[in-house]
Amino acid sequence: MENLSEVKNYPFIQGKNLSLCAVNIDNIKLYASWDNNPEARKYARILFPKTPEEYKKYMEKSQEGVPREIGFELWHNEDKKPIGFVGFNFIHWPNRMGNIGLIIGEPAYWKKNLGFEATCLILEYAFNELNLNKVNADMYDVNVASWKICEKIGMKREVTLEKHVYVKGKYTNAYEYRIFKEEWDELRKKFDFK
Amino acid sequence: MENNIALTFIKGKNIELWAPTLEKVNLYAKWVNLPTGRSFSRVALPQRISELKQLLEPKPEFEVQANVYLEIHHNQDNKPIGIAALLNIDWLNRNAKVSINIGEPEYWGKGIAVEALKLLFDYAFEDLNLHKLYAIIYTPNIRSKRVFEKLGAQHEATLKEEGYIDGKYYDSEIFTLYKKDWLNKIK
Repeated sequence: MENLSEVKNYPFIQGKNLSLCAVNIDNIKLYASWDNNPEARKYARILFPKTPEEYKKYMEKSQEGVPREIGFELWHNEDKKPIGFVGFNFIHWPNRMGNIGLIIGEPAYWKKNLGFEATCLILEYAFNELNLNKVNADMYDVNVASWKICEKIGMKREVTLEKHVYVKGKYTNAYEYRIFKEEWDELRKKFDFK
Repeated sequence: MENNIALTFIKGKNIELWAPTLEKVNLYAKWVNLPTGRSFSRVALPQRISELKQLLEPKPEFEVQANVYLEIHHNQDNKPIGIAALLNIDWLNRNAKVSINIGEPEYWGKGIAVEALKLLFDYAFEDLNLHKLYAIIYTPNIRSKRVFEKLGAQHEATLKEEGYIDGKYYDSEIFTLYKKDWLNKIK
C-alpha cells in the first residue's frame, strides 16, 4: 500500500506532462511566491504584493452551491511538484461563459509548451465537463507567451483594448481571446495533450 | 506551510523587497516599537500586534489599495531587516507618502535605505504610474534627510513645530520627488 503521508497530490485531470489538482491550503506560500515573482508578475501586471494570507482567505471561502471561480494546481507529472496554477477567474453560468487564467509560476518551466498543455486541459474540462459554450482569456500585449498559446490553439482575438495598460512608461494594448465549444470540438483533434 | 519559500516582489542588488506575511508580524512589531528607531517616526504610542495584524489582513476586493507594505530582505544574510512602504496613496491626484524603517540597527549606515527607496521609487513611478511622492521628515532626523536628498528629493515645505520629540517641538520638512525628475534625470 502506498505510504499515505507521501501522497502529495490528488490529480483530478490527468494530462501528458501535467495534472490538474485541487488547490491545496498547505501551499498558499508557494502560490504567493509565484504571483510575487518579479520575472513573472511583469507579464501578468500584478502590481501589488500578495500575502499568503490572501490565498488562505480565498481558499477558506465557503463554497455553497456552484462556484463562480474554480482553481487548479498544475502538477508536473515527471518532477512531481506543483509549478503553476490554472482555472476560471469567473464563470457566468446563465451565459455558460468562463474566463480562464493561467500562471506557470516557476520560470524554469517556461518555454516547454506546458502553458499550451494546461490550456488544452482546461478547455477540455470547460466544454466537456462544465458544459460551457464560450471561454475567453484576457491578457496584455507584453505577455507574449500567453497570447502565443491562444494563437497556437486557434482562439480568436475578439477584442483589442488600445493603450489600456501602463507598462514601462507607455500605454500598451490588452487583448481578449475567445473560443466556442464547436470551435474546440474541431481544433482539439489536432493536439496531443492527454 | 513551508517557511523557506521566498516572497520576492522586487529584486535589487543587495536587497529584495518581499510581500509581507502575518507569519512575521511579531518581528514587524519589534521594528516599529524599537526605542532607537521610533522617535523620529513619531511613534509615541505602543504598537500592538493585533493592530499590525489588522493592517496586513487581506482587504475586501472592492477596496482600493491605499497602502503598500514591502519587507526589506537582505540577500547575503538572507533575512528580513525592515519595511518600506507607500502610504495614503491618492489615486486621483496620483501621489503617495513614502515611509521606510530599517528595523535592525546593525544595518544602519550601509546604504540600505537608499537602495530600498530606489526600488520603491521605480515601482511607484513605473508600475503604479504615480505622479509625485513625498516624505515627512522631522528636523532632528538628519540621516533620513540626507538619504532623500541623495536620491534627488527636494525640500518643498516646512511645517513649524509639527512634532513633539523628546520634550521639545520640532519642525517637520516635506521632501518631494516628481515622476518626470526621477525618470528623466536622477535615476
